[in-house]
Amino acid sequence: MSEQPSIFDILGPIMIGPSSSHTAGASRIGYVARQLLHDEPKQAFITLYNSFAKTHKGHGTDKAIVGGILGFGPDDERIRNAHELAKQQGLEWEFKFRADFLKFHSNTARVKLIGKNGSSVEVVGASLGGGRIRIQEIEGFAVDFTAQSHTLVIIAEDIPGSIQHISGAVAEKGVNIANMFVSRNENMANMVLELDQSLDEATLKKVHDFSWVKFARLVSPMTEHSSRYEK
Amino acid sequence: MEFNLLSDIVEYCSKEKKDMAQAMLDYEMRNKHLSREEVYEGLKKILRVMESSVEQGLTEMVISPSGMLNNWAKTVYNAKVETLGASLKKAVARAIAVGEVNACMGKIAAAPTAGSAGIMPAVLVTMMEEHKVSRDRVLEGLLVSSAVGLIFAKNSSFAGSEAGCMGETGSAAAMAAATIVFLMGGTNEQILEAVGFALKASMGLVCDPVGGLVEEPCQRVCVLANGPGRNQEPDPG
Repeated sequence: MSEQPSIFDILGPIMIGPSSSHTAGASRIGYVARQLLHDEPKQAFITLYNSFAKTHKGHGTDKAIVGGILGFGPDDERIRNAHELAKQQGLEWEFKFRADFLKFHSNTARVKLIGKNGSSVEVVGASLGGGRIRIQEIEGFAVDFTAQSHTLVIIAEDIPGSIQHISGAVAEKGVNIANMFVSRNENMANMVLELDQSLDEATLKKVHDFSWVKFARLVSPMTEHSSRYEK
Repeated sequence: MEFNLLSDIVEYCSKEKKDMAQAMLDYEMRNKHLSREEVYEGLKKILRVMESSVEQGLTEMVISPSGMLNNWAKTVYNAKVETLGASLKKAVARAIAVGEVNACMGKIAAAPTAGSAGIMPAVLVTMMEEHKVSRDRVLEGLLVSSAVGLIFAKNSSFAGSEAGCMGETGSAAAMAAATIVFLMGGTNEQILEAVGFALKASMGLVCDPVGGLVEEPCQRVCVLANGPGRNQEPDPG
């Protein structure tokens, strides 16, 4: 038997309007980008594609994404004033629009963030409706995850045994791996591990400290009051 | 635990000697490993947001960025003329209120979508205020609405872009119709009749909103959707 829908997939989500795809989903893409940056964002370069590009204004897609980058969840009423709040917090942002980019899902955003400590990350995500999203690209690597579970994202040199080292570090903490995806790009490998529980900061650092690991980040699932979640 | 058709739920009800609300409570508890209290906590949260979105739309300034929605709910609510009675007038105003709050980036509970978010709150608040249905009973009503929504989710789609307006407001209207009949003491058979009635009334509606925005005609259809379920109200006497 496959996973059955919850009654709260039908009643809910509790969200800031007007659109579960163009507002709630958009904020989640921004929020995932923030988590992947793992730093206080200083600059954001955002490209909205297709339907996002055409109807962002009336749907508040631009505010929702900036709100997500500020760490607001999809039900956080501060989203409405996200642009003013971003200015106050010293976040600069810039939007570009590409209305007919058929390679991408109709509600897609590319978010590049630069952090106050100089780190940066570039993410492409699609909003699927009902507030659900799919992250499709990180740092140029094709990925595929929904950010509905704790997700460990790693980019590393493609060396033998790398998967074993990483899964070992996770297993040592008694954390179960629900799903794992691996993709390769020349001599680099990308690993996405969906976990049953969260991972502590020390384990994340341990993974990050492997000499061949270039990038290791944990994305936590969005809950209704996820806006409380701060790194 | 799996329900694919409304008749599966009705069958479960007669086998277990439970009503539709209890069937859905069992479904959620068993599949999501939740306690009764946890499920009810979630339902209460949804109901609170629904009520506050109605309240907001009836009291605060709500003008959408496009200007298409502009404090219409208050006008309807305070209108002196009542062509079809005070209860329907207020239900309509409440549906508009939520639509306006939604368009103005306020907080709403999608049920099942944001574009159709006005229908369930309008019906539930109206049942509480005009028909004196208790809060606890309304939470059971929400469970019944989820039964209908679940079957649509499994067999069709809530996305207007895929299933047309019927997928969004049609689903919500059917959920609301089932809820009203349940709250008025209708049988499972009458609940299913109400679902069919509401769906037939929304058949074939396209999803082609003005400017691609969740404003028009979503708003008007949410108003209309208050009608079909209410006409199915069984005679309380």
